[in-house]
Amino acid sequence: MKHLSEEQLIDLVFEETKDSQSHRHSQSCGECRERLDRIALGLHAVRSLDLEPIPLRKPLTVRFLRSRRWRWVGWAAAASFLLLSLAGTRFELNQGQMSVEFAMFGTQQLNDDEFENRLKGVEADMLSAFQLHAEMMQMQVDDRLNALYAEHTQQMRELSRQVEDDIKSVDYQNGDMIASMRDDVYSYIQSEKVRGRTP
Amino acid sequence: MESILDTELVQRAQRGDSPAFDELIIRYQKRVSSLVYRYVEDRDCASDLVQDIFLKIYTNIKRFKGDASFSTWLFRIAVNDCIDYKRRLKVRRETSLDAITEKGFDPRDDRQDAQIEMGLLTRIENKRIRSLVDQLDPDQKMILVMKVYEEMTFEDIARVMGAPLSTIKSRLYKALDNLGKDLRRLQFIERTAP
Ligand SMILES: [Zn+2]
Repeated sequence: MKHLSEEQLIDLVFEETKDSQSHRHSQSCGECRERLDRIALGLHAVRSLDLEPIPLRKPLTVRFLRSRRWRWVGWAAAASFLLLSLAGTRFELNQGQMSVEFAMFGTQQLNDDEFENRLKGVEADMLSAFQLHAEMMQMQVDDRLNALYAEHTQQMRELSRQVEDDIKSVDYQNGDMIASMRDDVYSYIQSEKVRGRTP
Repeated sequence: MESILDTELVQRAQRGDSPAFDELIIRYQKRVSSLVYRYVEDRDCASDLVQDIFLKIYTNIKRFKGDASFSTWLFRIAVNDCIDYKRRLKVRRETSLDAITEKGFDPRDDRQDAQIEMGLLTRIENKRIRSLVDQLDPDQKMILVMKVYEEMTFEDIARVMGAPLSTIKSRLYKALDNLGKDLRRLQFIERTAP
């Protein structure tokens, strides 16, 4: 019998043949055995690749996207408002109500370094809150972009521009907020120091 | 919608019925995304390509005559897009010297982080196997992905690639044979490395 063809070897390696003759030949012929082993090794290697899971999100239709779009804008506004009010509340506590403020920073006497560390802690908390916020927004953005397949190109450009603007404005807002909080906390420390008290 | 045949949905979509087109997308999005992702192995590229493919489907659906099934037509567009992408990438990469080190072909690296047991393939790193797969001819790699990962039948692959069954099997043989040879070479290097 002549040697096995490439097709026959492929059928053998994928176990897609019932041809016992080619099977027997592959067992008895050294050359064909070798060729079969080689492609089996290649196949084994490919199959052994553990790829990351495929990043699929649930499919969204165009109309669903449209309704989501408004919900998303509403959601982002609500989230920004929540953060703003959270920051505002904290800030008000800092400025006005001494007792609550003390509870937040601790009542013992703190030197400058210690105080600086506390301040850094507060800042880090704020930053991670903003980070989380940004990540959640990014997830929403991803969902939307994923669903844009069926939209016209023009519409797609407009939407992504709008998304970018949204993100940018929230970024600016966050930046401003951090900066002003820091300033206010500092001026509060200064005023307390002038009055001879250590917060 | 689920019970409607592709052909009917295609006819509706050709008349401008967007819910019908949406349904077609929903039906194939997962399989197309999976194929593309397995082929390019990069999230961002895959996502761009899939978007591009569905836009092509959208803009060309009126030209679809129904000579082949819709899924064959769709996968043909997807496959051609992927292979085109890979070819463009290949040309770019081959002109870049950086790519050589990037792909990890420095033999010193090979010795450093792969531990290969005698006669066993198992410890050759994923990264290296992947880079070998990546060097295959784009057609060969596509057939490999369709067969091994997407578990398509040879007949379906032949239809999508627009080539005879024997050609598909022969290309797949060459792909696996090349991989097998390269892996043995790697094993040899590992064994003989000081
Ligand atoms: Zn033989």
